[in-house]
Amino acid sequence: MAHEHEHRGTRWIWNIFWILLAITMIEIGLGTVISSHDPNRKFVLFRNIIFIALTFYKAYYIMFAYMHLREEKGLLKKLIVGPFSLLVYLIFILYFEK
Amino acid sequence: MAQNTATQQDSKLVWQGGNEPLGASYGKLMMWFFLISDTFTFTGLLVSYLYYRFIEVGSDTWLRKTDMVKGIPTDVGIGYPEDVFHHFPFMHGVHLPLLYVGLMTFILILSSVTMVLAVDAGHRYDRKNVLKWLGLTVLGGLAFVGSQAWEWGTFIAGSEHGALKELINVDGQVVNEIFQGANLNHNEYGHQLFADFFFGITGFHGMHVFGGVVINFIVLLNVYNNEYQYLGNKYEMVEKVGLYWHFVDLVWVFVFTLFYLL
Repeated sequence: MAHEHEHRGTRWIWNIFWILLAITMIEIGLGTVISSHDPNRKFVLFRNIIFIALTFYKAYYIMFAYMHLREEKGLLKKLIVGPFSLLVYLIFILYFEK
Repeated sequence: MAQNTATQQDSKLVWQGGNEPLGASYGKLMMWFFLISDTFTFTGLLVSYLYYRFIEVGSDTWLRKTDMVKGIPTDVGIGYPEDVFHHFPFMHGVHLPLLYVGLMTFILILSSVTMVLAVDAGHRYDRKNVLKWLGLTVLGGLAFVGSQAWEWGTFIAGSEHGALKELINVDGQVVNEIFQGANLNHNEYGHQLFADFFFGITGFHGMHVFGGVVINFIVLLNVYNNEYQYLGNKYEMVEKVGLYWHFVDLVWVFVFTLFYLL
């Protein structure tokens, strides 16, 4: 019973850990290099868009790899991700419709 | 297919959780239901934070930067989270923005990794490794809650110079006095709502982490007592609490961006 699926090993888990860590380091680096006080506001806006993109990138890895969503059935995947996509829309209208 | 065999074998099982629509067990589906509803709670909180910060109050008054000018704390312009959160333990007076929350994020990601490793070990009925990795997850969670306590303490204590705030003295008169730190009534860093949202959202998240630590610890005790080893469901309980634990990490990813980076 324990061996009905071939074990994938634990390397993929650590690989994703390094990805998540690297993204966090990039975020901290960007936040340090481009200060929020930077007089060039376009720079800061660009930086913020990168921050938000990286956040969703991280969220994707956590949900699909660590929460094993990748291995769930297609319909279950859609049912779970569907409501989450409302969050993307909500942030979008808040940031751009002020 | 799992759902068909359950139906054919024993029709009673269908109404007792034996049926598995979508190929996920009852417990796992219900955990996902809970997580989605919890997502809406956190989304509501974070989106109202964004709304007040960028639209209702506006970035100009949300945070203000204060510096000492001729011995008096003076407002020197718009502030950003990096002007508030730049402390690091044992590095007194050094300006290190983002580093401490970076460390907190690292701790939480690491405890997420140990949780996946525990779930993975559970799939192999490797009790010894489940105990090891789940135990480390509990320790990681405690480390995170501890870091958050330090973060709150620093925020409440405030900067060295403080800021001039309109306070009401014992005689009921409005006076301009130096106020240091932040609480639910006063906030030296800017708008009151900033402090309120900070305590509300990071507090709600910290409560989730603490709840997760307690649940993980209970499951750890159950694993130690061999509760799951012979159920034949690949340590599904560890997988379910794992889902919750990753969700907490997921929320922190968003809190980290919206509170500290932007």
